[in-house]
Amino acid sequence: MSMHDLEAFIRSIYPFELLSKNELSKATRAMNIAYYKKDGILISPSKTASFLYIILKGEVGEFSEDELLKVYSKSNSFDADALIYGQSAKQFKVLEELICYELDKASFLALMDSNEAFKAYFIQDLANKIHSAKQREYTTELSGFMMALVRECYVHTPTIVEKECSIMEALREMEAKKSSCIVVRLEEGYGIVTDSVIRKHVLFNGYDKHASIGAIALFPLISIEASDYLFNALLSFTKHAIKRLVVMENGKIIGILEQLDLLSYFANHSYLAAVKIKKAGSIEELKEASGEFIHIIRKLHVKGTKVDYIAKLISELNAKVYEKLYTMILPEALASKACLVVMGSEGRKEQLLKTDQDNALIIEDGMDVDAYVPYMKRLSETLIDFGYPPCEGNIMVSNAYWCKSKRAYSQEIARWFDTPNMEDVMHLAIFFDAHAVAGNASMLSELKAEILRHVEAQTTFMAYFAMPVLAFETPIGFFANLIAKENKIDVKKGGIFPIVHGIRSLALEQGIDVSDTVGRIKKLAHLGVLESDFSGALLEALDTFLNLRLKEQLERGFGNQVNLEHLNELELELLKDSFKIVNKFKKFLTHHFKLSMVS
Amino acid sequence: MFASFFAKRNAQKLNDERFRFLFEEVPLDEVVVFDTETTGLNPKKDEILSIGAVKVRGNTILMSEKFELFLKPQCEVGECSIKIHQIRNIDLQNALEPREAITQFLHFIGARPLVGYYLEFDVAMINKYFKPWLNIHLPNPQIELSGLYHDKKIKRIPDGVIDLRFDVMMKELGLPIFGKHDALNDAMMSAMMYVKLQNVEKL
Repeated sequence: MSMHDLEAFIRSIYPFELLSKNELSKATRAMNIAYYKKDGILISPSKTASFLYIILKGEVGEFSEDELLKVYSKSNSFDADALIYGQSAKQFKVLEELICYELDKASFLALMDSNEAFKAYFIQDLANKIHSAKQREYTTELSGFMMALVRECYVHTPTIVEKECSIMEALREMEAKKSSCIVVRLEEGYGIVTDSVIRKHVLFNGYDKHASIGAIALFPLISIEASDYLFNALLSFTKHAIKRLVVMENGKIIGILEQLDLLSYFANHSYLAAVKIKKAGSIEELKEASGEFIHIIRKLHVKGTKVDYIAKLISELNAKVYEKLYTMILPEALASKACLVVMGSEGRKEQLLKTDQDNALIIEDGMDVDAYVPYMKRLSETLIDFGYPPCEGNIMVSNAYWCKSKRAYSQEIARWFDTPNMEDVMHLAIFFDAHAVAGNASMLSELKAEILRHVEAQTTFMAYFAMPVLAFETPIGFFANLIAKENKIDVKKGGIFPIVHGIRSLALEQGIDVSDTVGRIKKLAHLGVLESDFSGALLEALDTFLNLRLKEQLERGFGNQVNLEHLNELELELLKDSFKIVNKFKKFLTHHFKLSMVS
Repeated sequence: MFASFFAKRNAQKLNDERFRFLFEEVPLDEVVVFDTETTGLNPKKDEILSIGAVKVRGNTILMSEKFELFLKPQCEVGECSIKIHQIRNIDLQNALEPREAITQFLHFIGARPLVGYYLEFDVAMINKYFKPWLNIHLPNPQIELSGLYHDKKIKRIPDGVIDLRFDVMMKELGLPIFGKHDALNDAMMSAMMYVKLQNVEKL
């Protein structure tokens, strides 16, 4: 391999791509190629590491005592920890005869010294490692939604005049340039003259329009650097209660940023959709507004926004659609005496694309339940028309089971706890995730409080409730290999469901009144039920699954299958690590809820 | 039977003591794998254009001590050979005078055994410059890769005809082929074959 090819190969491997050209060529010049037979030991507690190994061909296993933890194959490198700490508790053994590059310890440590990002990658723990890899994916795409720069937004041409210039002349120049304001060069710096300033001085106070403009200019001028974030511009508008900012670059004025443009920039995203929903005067208009969500998701995903945030935003928007539709369809007298709730993933605010409706109606005791039936039927049908597919399990307000009085729910909850079968457990699970979107929300809180009282009274129930966590095998094998069917893996069964349901079980047990998984994990960590490292790992693993699924869904439609062929090396690595975290979590739950004692 | 005798005779004929190191002891587990690019296949009239070489110590290919240089040809490089090795006249502007290049090469190899694919040709090419100048032929022991390969392969298929083409051998040995063919690259791939062949009983 010529030096050039070698550099190209090394550069294609993360985190070596973080190295500068100089650092990279220094590193490759120091590398040797080595060959090892099967079963050769490269590093062990008694054999200190003297190289960083980068695999060209073959496989190496990382063992802790006799347990195989990880398999390294082409393009993987190991083991930075052993080099940094000068010892290793792990053993690295050749599984398949190996050809690898060796970078000596001194050169490796020198690289770490000279490159902060490179160093950071190696000294972070697993959760951080996943995070930094994702961060990188994000930054390679456009900078995040809020991270757009001022210069990316539309900036108006400025009109700049001397302070001696007459007001009329300045206005003419402003007209010619179609500027929105006049920047005046004063002795102490720049000042600004806007329409409202002219209105005040010339029209109201009778200031001579041929007099010099300097005297009426406002000073100081609020400015922002072109390289600053739009987000900061937004803050500046609010803080100073102004409508325009002067954009500076290298100490020079390059334009004017109008509040209106900034808003419309954000409006292209979610803001506009929310306004549209609010303003919708007919069901048709509401349908049109809800049809735009997919574009928002796509945009946010491309810009690297965390899936968790996208889901929250979309859930807020979905909730607004539900709320609006509820008030449009139901007569006021009925609407205020009931509560529309969304459940399951929608309730947890984890819904992204429009998937099955999971909703229910709680009606105040004493109201005529039958009066609601036709409206609820219409509500379900309209939602289907909007593109929210009907729920397969028929968990919808059009189903009498999910449209009943508060008292009837109370009785049902008691029955769920009494002699639960699998269906009851799942009903309880989705109801526990419920989130009120319209009507009288206090009824839902009261019912949830009842659930928590039942949990306290019946401690053995929790094991039954948590049991489904183990329903699906984690698709990762003994050799830390991914187990796929036709190269596809169901990430919902394999990863998302065990985390979501496990966390839900813990939340139910602990009486945590938060309905989204991320919020629950954070609360559980706060309560000390989950160690903070582990909760961080769970959050990252969940985000990994959701991210890969969303990517697949955006590219190839619905479903929970992720095709391994579409993943790059890093994504495969993250997926493996995430499933390992799932397995660890299952172990934890088995122990916590004593699942091995029920079956 | 006469090998050691001829070796001594050869050593005796050396006419320049500065090159005595070619006969000194070497680290036991080190060899040099090398390859040349030439203007043609006739050692009598063709010339070396470039030499690429790497040291191998045990199972490690010391790329960090690699060797690569170009030689100034005495006559213009012909069109036919340019097409094969892709070394154009312009690529040889910074090339060394043959004597200087060979001197550097000798210092690189010392007395280490030489390894190569159809090594005989490459050694003959080196000798073409070397012999008239130092009055000896290259004294280093020579290890022929295709020979090593053949001997290990024949154990499995005693009467078989064995394909000894370079790429076929690489493939059979399960080694990755990379980059374009040039002297250093071929030396590097040959080094991999050598290391692999050292580690297998039969193929």
